[in-house]
Amino acid sequence: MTRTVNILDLGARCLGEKALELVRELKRSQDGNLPPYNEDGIRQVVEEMRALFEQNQLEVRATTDGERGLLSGIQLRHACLERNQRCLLAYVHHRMTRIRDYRWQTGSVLPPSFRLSLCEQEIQWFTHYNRSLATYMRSIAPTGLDLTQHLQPPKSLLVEVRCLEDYGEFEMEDGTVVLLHKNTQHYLPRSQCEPLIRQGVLEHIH
Amino acid sequence: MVVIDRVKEDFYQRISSDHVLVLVYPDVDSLCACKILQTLFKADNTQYTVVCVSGISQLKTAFTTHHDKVRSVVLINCGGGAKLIELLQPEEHICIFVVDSVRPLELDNVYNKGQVHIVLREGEVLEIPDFDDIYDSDQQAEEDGEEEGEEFFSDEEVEDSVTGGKRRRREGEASYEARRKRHLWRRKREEILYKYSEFNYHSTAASLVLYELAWRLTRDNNELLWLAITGLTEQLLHEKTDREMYVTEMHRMQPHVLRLNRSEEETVSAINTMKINFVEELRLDLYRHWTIYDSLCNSCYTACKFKVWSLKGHKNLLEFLADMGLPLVQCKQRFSAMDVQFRENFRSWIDRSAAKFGLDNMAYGSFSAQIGYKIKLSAADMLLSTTALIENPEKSTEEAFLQALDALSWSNVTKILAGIETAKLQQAAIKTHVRNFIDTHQVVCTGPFVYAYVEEGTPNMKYFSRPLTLCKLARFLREAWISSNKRARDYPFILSAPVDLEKGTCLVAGVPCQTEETRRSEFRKAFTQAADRTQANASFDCFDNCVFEMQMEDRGKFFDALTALCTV
Repeated sequence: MTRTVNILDLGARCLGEKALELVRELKRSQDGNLPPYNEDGIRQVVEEMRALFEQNQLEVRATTDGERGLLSGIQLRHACLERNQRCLLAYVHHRMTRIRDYRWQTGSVLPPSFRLSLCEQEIQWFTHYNRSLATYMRSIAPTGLDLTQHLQPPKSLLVEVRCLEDYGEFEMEDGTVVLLHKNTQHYLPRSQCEPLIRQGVLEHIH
Repeated sequence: MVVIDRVKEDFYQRISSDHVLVLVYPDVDSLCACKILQTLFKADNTQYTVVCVSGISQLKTAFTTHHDKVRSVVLINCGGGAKLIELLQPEEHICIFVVDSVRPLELDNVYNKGQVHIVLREGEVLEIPDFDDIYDSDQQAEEDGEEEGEEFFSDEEVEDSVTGGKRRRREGEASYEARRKRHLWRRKREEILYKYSEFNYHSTAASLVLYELAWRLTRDNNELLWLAITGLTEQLLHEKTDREMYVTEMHRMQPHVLRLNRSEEETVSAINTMKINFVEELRLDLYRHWTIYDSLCNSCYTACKFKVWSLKGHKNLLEFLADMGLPLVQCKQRFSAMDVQFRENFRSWIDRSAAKFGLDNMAYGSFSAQIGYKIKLSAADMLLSTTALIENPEKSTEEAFLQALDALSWSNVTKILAGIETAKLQQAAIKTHVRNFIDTHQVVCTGPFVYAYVEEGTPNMKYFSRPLTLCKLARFLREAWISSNKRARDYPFILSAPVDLEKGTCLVAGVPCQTEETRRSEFRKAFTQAADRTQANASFDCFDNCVFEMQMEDRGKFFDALTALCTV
């Protein structure tokens, strides 16, 4: 038995407003962290959609039975349904893109702080994505090529870096050991500095 | 030893294959030299590490922490006057190259074979005593050192000696003869050494040496040339060399400037490239970035000629402005905001009126650089800005050093402009201080020299706890003092300022007297002797020979001892 919900019971609000709020929430958080998966909001939007759909069903049946003057209502509700659908899809898709970018920029390990913002399915999706990416990277070259290392083509072999904190000794691939003392400037191979730059120990000087 | 003439093969090619440690003293010339070297290394993909060292103890620490990782070490403007092998005790495979403008160079460094190399410009002549006058080729002689007591030379010792010395194998009375000769030789050696290290002076700037290297490698361009010019300007404006030497060096730079900045009338060259040209610069600090009035009041030369701290002097200054035809309102506007006709004719008017008011040495030859339409800097502007950045009181020396190093690349020209703003504050602070000194009669003229203290708790004291700015203040104060007391022209000026209130230390800087043309100073020797006599707790750590640090409570008796020393 489907339960008919009167639209007005949802509190006198505009149709589609809840969906728009979901989208706005994501837009606001673009510079910061990913907000947690808004299950509540999604549930409300789905409820709204169901209510509209049921109403539409009723009216369509009534029209085929011969009643007039309901078509515009049906069209309006249909437009609302489509809009809600678009908003929901945008929400889910944007989150998916963010999670994917996270993998490319940071790594395959999810820290607990990030994990909290994801829902169960998103975490599963993340693991699947990791697996596919790893399989692909392994297949390109015999030893496996880490594509996530160099996201921009490097301009030079060596890069000038400044040491921001005392790190101690740093051994490089060819054996030379560099002492990373605070406030010293070095010119070192890019590939070996990148992890330290990402950690914040070294600062890239242009 | 090795005093290098073939710079490219003996210096550059030897270091460009390894990881190099570069130790740099924080002053403008060294910074420019370091930047030139960095550019050369980058072009050759040589890895390097840059560390700032402002004193001998820092040099030692930096070397000991970094040394087992590198094979080549380059010292820029530090360590030329210190016994490097003794101090650093480098291992066999380490090569130390020294590019230092300070003279006299430590003889152990010059005559060292293999580990310490002094890099000079091609054609430079070092005035050093002969090897034989200083070192006897006999092993025994070097171990004896300055001992007064004469040991008896046994036969075995005589046999062990490497021939080439003056001794022959004799017995008995012959050894007395040998001892006498040795004694005379030693006395002569002491005299020679005394005369050699008596005066401190500066020779070719490090940035010029490295620029020539870049030129020989055909890697020179306008940016490097500009750095070399800035280093050269420092030598003039910080009174490291005299006018004649500056002019000679400038003439050496002219061909480079002409070669790299050929102006073609037909083709339109790109706007964003740097262009350097020769200008007659006025001794008005930063006037293009400031107001004319401020610049006149705060520049050492004009402020002291007009004596702007006195009412009469101030009126004189206003008369000067009126004579030039510049309305006061215009003069108090930023130079770039002045009316076009005033701005364009300013140079010719000032030249005309300067002679009338006794400003004879107002102009000197220099260079200016331009990028695009907006940014035009003269060498003096660049120098003042970089000095202000290096001695930024809010940052530690190393941080400020790295910021200043950043600012030297033309892609970061906004930092230079920010440095100019800081320099203006500094200059204004210096002038206010000078005015205070003159008004409160704090400058004391004891017989052989003139001195003053910066009291604790004076506003803007933070600017003066660094060597370069302290020397600037000293020069300004000297000029100001001389303008009212003509007889003080022949006396050197010594200034002291507190540097660390917790430890109770103060910095003492000396500037030579104005009439001294050759810019040779005897401060290091005089200071060390006075400090020894009074057992003062002084550290002669700094590489700048005119500056040292000591405890404040020893200051009084130090100056007494210095007076006694100089009156002798």
